[in-house]
Amino acid sequence: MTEDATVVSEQAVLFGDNSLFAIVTESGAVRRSSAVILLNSGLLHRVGPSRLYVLLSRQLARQGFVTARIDASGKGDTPRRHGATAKDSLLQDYDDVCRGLHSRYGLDRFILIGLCSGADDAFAIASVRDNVAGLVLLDGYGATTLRYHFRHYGSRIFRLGSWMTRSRRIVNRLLRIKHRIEEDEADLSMVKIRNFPGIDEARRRFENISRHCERCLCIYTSASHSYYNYQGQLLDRFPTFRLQGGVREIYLPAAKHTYPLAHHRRIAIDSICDWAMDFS
Amino acid sequence: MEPFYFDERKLLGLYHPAAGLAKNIGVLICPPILGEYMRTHSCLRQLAIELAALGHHVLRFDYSGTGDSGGNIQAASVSGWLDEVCAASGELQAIAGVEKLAVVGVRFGAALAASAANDCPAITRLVLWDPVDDGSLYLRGVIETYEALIESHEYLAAEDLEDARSVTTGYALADSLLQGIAAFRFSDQGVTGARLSVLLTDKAVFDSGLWQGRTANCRLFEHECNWTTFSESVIFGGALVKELAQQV
Repeated sequence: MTEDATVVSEQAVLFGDNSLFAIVTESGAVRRSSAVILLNSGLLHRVGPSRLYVLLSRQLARQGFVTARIDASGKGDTPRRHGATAKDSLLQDYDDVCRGLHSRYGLDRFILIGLCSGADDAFAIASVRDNVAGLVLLDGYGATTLRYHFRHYGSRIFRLGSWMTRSRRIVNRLLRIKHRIEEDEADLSMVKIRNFPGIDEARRRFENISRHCERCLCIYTSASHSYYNYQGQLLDRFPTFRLQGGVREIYLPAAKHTYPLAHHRRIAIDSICDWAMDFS
Repeated sequence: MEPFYFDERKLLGLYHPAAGLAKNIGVLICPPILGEYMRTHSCLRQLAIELAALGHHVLRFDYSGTGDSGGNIQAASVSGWLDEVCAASGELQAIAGVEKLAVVGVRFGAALAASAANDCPAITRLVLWDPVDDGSLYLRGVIETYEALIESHEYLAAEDLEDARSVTTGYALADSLLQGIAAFRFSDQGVTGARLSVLLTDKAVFDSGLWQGRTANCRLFEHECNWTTFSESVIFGGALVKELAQQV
């Protein structure tokens, strides 16, 4: 979290008919042509876990980005939209924020940043809105590969070899392995909890995103171990997902999902801000 | 709800005007700090809405270096936060046109509210939810929770571990803030009697009788808050919010 002396200013703003709550951050730095929108992480309000979104917004603002950390409808200080499906509500929220930022600053290209469910929302929005210029997915979508499974089960298979030499314990050990594999399968069910799209749907989304999005950054932590365990896995699984400015993957296996340790927060924020420097 | 920034410290205020016939006492809400701040946001918003519906003008706000307010936590101090409670009180009086205020304080926010009540004559009533009694014990709990998080982190590399241990909490608080928190004692504040209401969610704390010795208005309302374990789960108010509103 490199701090510089550039003063940032923040405003509390209500966007659209549903009074969508946002804190808009900007600075006197030369303004970039894309604005940043930060989407809620789970049920947490716009501040983000351990103030991650506030620190990130301010650092990006110092780099010239107008940033809006928002409370989607039904979260934080924004009321629920009655009668709208979750997907419709999400898109209406996004459109309201875009219109608001356009009318205030004349900006019409946007970078979406989200953690956990915020990453899932960003992924969904980016596939159907062609004004998304950049995408940052923190513990976002992922899918396993053969190499993932080798790494995941490799150590267990290795241990199996040594167990086989101890014939007295073979049966018990094999039973334990079976149990472990069942546990691993249960781990993989996290993917279901997150409501990740199926492979075909994900591939379709990536194709759509490739048509308009300039660049994408995916950061995975230890929380993604059940579906992601090496840097480059996303592109191994989706080799046709290519963007003009590149798709960058960062794997932080020691970091926790919500970055409760200051050291990992700093790495995540600096990585995102470094990546964002390539936007005009 | 009307959001705005006030004070030269750029504090975020969220004003909930009274619905219908307004009562002549405003309510200021002092949130807890650190992880507890995030966990109670939804609950305190519900409380503000509930109180506004009951005819109170309500102001929620974030201390500097916390939430959406200006500054960094590393530069924050307890004396600064106390000053901000008074500044927020003045802001609510000015916006709502009320002279008297009740303050709802949660955890260390309750400690700040109790301290500020001595300097801020407009505060005539305190409603405290699981207030901190001894700052040093509270801080020890925060530190132990953080250390347990580090110890249980099976993927933490050696260099990360060293870095994580170099800060006392996950927020890298300044020594002066840590000392300010540790120095707080509720018993030093002289806040007792009818102006004080206390709502406790932990039966063990209630059964200790500590708070009953300070006020007759001490109630137990059991609710799973898990203040002393590392948790990021949002606390939903429901009946607890109704109970707090009743206390006000």
